[in-house]
Amino acid sequence: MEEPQDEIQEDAADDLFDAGLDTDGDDDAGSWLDEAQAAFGLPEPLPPLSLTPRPYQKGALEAWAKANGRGVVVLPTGAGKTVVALMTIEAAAVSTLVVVPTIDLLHQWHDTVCSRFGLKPEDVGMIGGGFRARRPITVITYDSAAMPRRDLSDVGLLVFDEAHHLPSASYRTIAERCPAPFRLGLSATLERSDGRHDDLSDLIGPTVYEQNPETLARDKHIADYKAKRIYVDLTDDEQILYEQLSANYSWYMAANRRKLMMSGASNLFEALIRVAGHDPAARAALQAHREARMLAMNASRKGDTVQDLLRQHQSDKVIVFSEWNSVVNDLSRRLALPAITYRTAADERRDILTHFRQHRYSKLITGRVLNEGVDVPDANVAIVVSGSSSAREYIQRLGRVLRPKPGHACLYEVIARGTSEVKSAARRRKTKTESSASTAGA
Amino acid sequence: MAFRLEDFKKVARKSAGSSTAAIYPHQIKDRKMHARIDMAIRSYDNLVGRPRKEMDAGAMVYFLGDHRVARGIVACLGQQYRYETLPVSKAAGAETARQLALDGMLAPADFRSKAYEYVNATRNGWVSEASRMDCYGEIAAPYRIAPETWDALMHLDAEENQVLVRVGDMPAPADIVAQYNYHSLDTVLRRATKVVLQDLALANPEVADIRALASAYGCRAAFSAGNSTVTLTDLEMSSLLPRRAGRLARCLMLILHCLNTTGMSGYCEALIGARKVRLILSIDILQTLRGGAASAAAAGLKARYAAVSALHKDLLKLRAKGEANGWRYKRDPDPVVTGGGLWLPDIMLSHGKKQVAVAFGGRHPELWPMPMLRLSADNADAADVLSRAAELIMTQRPALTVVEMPVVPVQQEFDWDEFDSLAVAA
Repeated sequence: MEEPQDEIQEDAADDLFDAGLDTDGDDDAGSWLDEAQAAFGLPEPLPPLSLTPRPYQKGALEAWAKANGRGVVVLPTGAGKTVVALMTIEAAAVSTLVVVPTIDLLHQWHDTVCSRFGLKPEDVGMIGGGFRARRPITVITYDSAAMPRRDLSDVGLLVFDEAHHLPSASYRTIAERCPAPFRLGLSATLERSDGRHDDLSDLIGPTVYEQNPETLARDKHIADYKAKRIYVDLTDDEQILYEQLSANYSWYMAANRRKLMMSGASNLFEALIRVAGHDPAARAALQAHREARMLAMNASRKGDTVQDLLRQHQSDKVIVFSEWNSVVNDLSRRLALPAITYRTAADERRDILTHFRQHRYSKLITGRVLNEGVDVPDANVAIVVSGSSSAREYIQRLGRVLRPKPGHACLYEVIARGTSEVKSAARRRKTKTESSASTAGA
Repeated sequence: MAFRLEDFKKVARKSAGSSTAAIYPHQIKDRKMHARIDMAIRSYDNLVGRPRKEMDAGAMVYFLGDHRVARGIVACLGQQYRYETLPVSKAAGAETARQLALDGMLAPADFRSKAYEYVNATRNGWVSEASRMDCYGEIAAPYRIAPETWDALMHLDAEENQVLVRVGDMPAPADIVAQYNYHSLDTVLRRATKVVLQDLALANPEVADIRALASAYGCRAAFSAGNSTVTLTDLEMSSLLPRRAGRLARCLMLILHCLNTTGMSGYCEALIGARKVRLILSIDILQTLRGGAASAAAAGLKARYAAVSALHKDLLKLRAKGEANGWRYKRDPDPVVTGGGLWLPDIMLSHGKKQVAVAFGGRHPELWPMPMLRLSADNADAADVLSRAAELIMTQRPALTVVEMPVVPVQQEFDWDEFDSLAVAA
């Protein structure tokens, strides 16, 4: 996307809407914006924002303004989506509700809004996690905002952090009930496994700006990174067991394909899950599929590879990711790595992250719990021991090493050769590449 | 407690032309199942004190024949059996535990923190498998414990190392069957969008009571057919968030337990997943929900709700003043279900693993698997009574997680002498 650098002013907020409206040639839009600002205006003007935006952040703001203040901005983790939101809040100058998915992010957003606008903590509202203070600018959790009695009638600007959560059945009511004329969605990747990401264009607006990690890394806005796949072989015993389990699954699917196709499910695997509810043979096939997948993802030689990588990166800050908590616990125990899973107590999790941030710990292993919604300290190296085929998960994990830093960041994917994991790894990367390509084409 | 939908065994039938399917939650009625459940209980009991990794989760499914029934029964057994972390004193010995405690190491997280600090200070943040025990040996040497013991202490709270403990006495098969049958119904009731109760003979004060109760729970009660039919609906039906669930079920249970509802019938509409279903409240189902409390109780609906609210407020004040001594309060807890019947407590006091259930009015059997207090609705100083009672239970039976104790009868003046003697005798 070409940056209209010459048109971008130092204070983008002042002429933001005029610039967008002139381009569209919409004569009525100016009055509409005035009306919106009159209806939802802030009681007191905001102090000026204390930050210097990067060019692509200005570009994102401009694209959003050109779309009449409704749209989604897709930027990788570490690229400063929060800054785009803060610029939007300043530009719109209306009562704002920032909707976030977790309590961690609730506090993080509250602190950021306060510090960047120079506001006192009590001047910025916070709802969720035991807080109930509503102010002209308020940060709220998705759960709290979706409560049926929550009054959203006075909101002028809705900001959805991690906007891919919004299309779910219970959260979409937030956008549907709220009359806010300005809406901004932020996400590193919009892809949802249920395909509902298409609903975002109705709930928020179209994707108005997108940048992929490669472009931003090339321009030095995020860390330059290398992604590398490392293949490991299953042991002989594992390979035999894997083939047996795969054969059990494949045989059932082949022998029952007609029955499964008649079940009305959208694909054969979904049909298998349905049938497994009452058919022991289907349940056995499903179990075999799951065990084969676990075997591939938890291949014993992956542990040795992780040790080799840790040896290579002795002085780096490393986060090891695994799809399975059993692997997290096993590697944590074998290699004395601090571990964070869903079972880790809040106090211990906070201590581990604090120590990691303060460089007192240099290595950390975790499951899916740190994929998003948690303020994870930056690292140089990410090792993905196992992962799903989701591009979103891949991008989120990649994002943990992308914050700007001197030198290269590395992302290693450890993949069991000759198993379904090879396809999963290819799929998540392909989906990510397709997503980037389609944006570039647009 | 409601079962997870994927573990919920039911039959749903949809007749032609109807948009709503009739649902029949599975109920264990066959006495032959008692023998199998008895065996399941014994197998659990044999594993008490053993680590989780020795439990064969698949065995129960094969033994009981149906994975949904098996998971339901395991969920019910979970009320009496739970996994807990072995104390440091048992893993390392009392004297060593005392020394470790002096150094601030009381729990597995403390051992992990110490180890990670050391590994980061001396070994670049990780150790290879080959050198792990050497490293732990260096950390554990000042405490004179073996590196293997240190390793075990670090992971005492890991899921596979937790040990099974029994809470209270060994349950009887009838207890587990009663719990299964209730929770199976509760799975539908908690997802109710509408409850219709018919053939009621309500007096005007009772109509007012039901209306007030429903309103207090965020529901709406509409009366028709000369006050013989009441329709309960959720005021916030548009968003059935999990935290909102169960209000209609609670209203229904309170009506069943506090009013004379003999001869009543009705139905409930619910959303199971995205599917709209109807549960007919048959005589058998109502009997299961009443759990033997068939006749009118001492306290009326409105009086009971007002008393519970006042007590809850008092308890919260106690906590705000810092006088709760670590007790936590939960309003409208799950019913206590045993083979002897079903009891509907209003507030659950908990302190660590200890629990005391509190109810206003209502009939109930003599013995329940947890200490309980029964208060009259007009007890003026209920919060003080409760705080003293809770303290007494803590003092008298500090080593027990659950105490069986006879019910303290309702009375205007709380008789502390009698309460003391009952608690001590228990």
